[in-house]
Amino acid sequence: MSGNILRFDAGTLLLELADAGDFPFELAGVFKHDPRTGNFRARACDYAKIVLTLKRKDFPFTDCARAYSNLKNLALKEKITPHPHQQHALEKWLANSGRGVVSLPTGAGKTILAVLAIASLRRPALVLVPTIDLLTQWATVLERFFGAPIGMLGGGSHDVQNLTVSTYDSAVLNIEFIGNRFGLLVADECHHLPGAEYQLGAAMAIAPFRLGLSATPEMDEERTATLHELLGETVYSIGIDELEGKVLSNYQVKRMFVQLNSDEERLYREQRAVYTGFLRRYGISFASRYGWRDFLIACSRFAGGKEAFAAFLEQRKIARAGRAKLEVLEKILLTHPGERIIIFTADNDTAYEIGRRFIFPVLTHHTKSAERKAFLDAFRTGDYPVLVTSKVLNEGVDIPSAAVGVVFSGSGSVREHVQRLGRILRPSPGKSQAMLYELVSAGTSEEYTSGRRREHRAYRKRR
Amino acid sequence: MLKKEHICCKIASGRVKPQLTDTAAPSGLETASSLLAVYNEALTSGMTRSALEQLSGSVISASPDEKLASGLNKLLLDRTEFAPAAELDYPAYRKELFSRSAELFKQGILSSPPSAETPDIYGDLPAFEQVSAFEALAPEALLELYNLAQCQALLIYASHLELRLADPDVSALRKVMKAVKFFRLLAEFSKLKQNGIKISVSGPYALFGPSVKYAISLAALLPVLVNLKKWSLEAVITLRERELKLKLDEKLGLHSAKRSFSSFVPEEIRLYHRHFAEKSADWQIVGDTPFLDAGNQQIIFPDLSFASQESGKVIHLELFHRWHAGQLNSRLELLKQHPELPLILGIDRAIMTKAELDEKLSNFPDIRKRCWLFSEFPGVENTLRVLRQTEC
Repeated sequence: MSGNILRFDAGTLLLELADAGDFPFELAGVFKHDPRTGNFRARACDYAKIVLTLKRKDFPFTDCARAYSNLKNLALKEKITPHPHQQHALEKWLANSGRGVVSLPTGAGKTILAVLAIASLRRPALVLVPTIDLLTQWATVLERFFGAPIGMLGGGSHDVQNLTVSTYDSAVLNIEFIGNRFGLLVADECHHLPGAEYQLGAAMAIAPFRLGLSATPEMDEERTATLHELLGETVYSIGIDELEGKVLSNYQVKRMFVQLNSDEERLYREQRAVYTGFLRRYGISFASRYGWRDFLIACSRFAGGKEAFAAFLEQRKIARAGRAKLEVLEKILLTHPGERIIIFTADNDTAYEIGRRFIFPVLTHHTKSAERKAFLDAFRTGDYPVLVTSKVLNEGVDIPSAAVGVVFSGSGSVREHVQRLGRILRPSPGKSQAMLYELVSAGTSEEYTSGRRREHRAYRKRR
Repeated sequence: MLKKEHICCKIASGRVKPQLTDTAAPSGLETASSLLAVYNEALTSGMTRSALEQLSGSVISASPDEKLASGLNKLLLDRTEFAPAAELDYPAYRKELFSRSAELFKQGILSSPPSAETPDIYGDLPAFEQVSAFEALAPEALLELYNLAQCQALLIYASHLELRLADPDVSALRKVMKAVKFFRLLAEFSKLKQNGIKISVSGPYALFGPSVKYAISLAALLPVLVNLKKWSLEAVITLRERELKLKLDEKLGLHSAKRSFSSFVPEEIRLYHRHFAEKSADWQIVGDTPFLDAGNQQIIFPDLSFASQESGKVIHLELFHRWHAGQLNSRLELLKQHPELPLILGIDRAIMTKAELDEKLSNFPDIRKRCWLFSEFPGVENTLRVLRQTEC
């Protein structure tokens, strides 16, 4: 054993030198002297760089940081024949030293790509996911393909195995203890990763191999740089339109402008006048980066602020969930009797209003796990043909047979809108074309919101 | 814990100062009493969450200081537990209704909304849950808790703290260091000119930039500090996209109603003390453990101290667990340089193997016999063996 030791310490790496004068200067930008402990410390995610540099210069050291072995016996229990785009993505990722982000539309087989990556590397793997639904879904898929016990962190589970799935939240809490136990890190829906806290889930892990998966990795420059630093550059990308009719269903998008009822329209104008008058009075503009923050501060400080905030909520509620929209929704439902339909709303209140109105199951973060599973299972089998949800089905959850989507209301987020379209694109027997309806209250701020969220190539050709 | 919208502070010249409430002011006490009455009544009557929100909301609106009332309400809500109203098996009820509506929909018929007499199909949502427990306190204590929470709410935006303890006694230092260790933070010490100690506290990863990961742990140190005699805390916090200096000290008159941190004795330590007393005739655990000044700004806070019945010699024990493994190496180096220190080390096997320890101390057999490895918690027999070897 060498006198120089590389050690994992609570999400960081310590280089303990037998002689402090031997510090490898090539790593001066990676290690920092830590006056609290009197030794050299680096981020755990720099492990690969550190080990390669030390080996390249024949620097004697003992690696006590890595606490995993290769899984020589790990093999697929079921044969997978990848689609050409999956094979191409895997090759590009492997050619980039097993690091990088792959952008595939929802339904194009991101999970299968990760299974193929784990099978080719045969290293213990930690999969990060944003929701509890995805946690259980990934665990089921990994168990099916590898026939091994799958660890889970999150949703009340705390079990670490060679193949472990964790929510981003649980990873941040646990990574200082388990960050040296995995050789491969897979970040599903990796556009979440650059968040101030979530990025620690990748930064405090030593995994030399890293795979980011997302249908919508587009984000601002700073977040993109963080993502690429932690996972690697985007190595492969393919759009919905390129896979439509091949791997994904054909689809149509129908935007429907709905007139408010006359009393609602009057109330909308009144409330909007109160709210916009307040904005003008205090020179607040939502075009500014700080517009929303300034509005909240002004509401709490200035006369008329409380009324302005109440008016803001009321006019938004009318635009999002006017009675006329419910009438149009009823007509749409009757156009597709018995078909598998997902209704998306911007908020929980509207979701529950629809659920109560038509006696439909509603899935929100309030839905307890047993009932959530029962709803999804019944939807998959067709026992419940309609599901109403606000945001929990936006991402990832595998719903193979949904053919119709109704965006009853939503935010201006392009990502949310593309993810919602993705929910209905998974192909299934007998499904010839998917249909996405978007309901927009005419003459309200929803028209602008709708315009913003459609700024994506998946929608452009269907305008 | 208070949220951002509850923070009351003044910002001027790059400094942020919490705006604390006068705990003896009649208006504040009245607001606190009114809210406490609402929560006590909510527990007695098993009020629903939405009814509680409405009632507390009306107290907040009627209060002369809505921000104070809203903050007090948040602290009370944190002390409240809710449970579902259990009269109806809602999942079974829904299953029956959904199955019926699904069958109708397959025939091209949409269900009508249920009549007002039937139970709401989503009657078990959080808004309908009932108050099941509430940890009551006196109005003055609630206002004191509010002031402490105001300061903690600012510390949530810090990634590093500097504590200054003037003329600290041993027990004060031990309380702080126990808390630092407990929250898995790292500390750097330096002596102040006038009989005091400066302690810089942050988390391991904080070396690479501000990190919110340790914020709750840093904020959790405050209740330990406020019960000391003379202390100050400085931090740089990032609030409203500005870097601001925060300074707190004993003059703010903060109090923590929680039990002193050091008064909490984990079960394994209690058992260890009992077994040690049963098994050892020649050594005994002695009371308050002092800190050892090893020079060069190194201060050691042993976990336990033992006195020999025969010679009266006192030897201290320091335990190393995985969350402060980084300090072990420097401690071994220190023992090599200062073998005269009356210190023995217990090391968690999770951070060092026997082979590693043997190699590290291969040329220092006298130091090697003062260290041993344990799993989870050190056993009494091993402690006694090492104490007897060290005394010889």
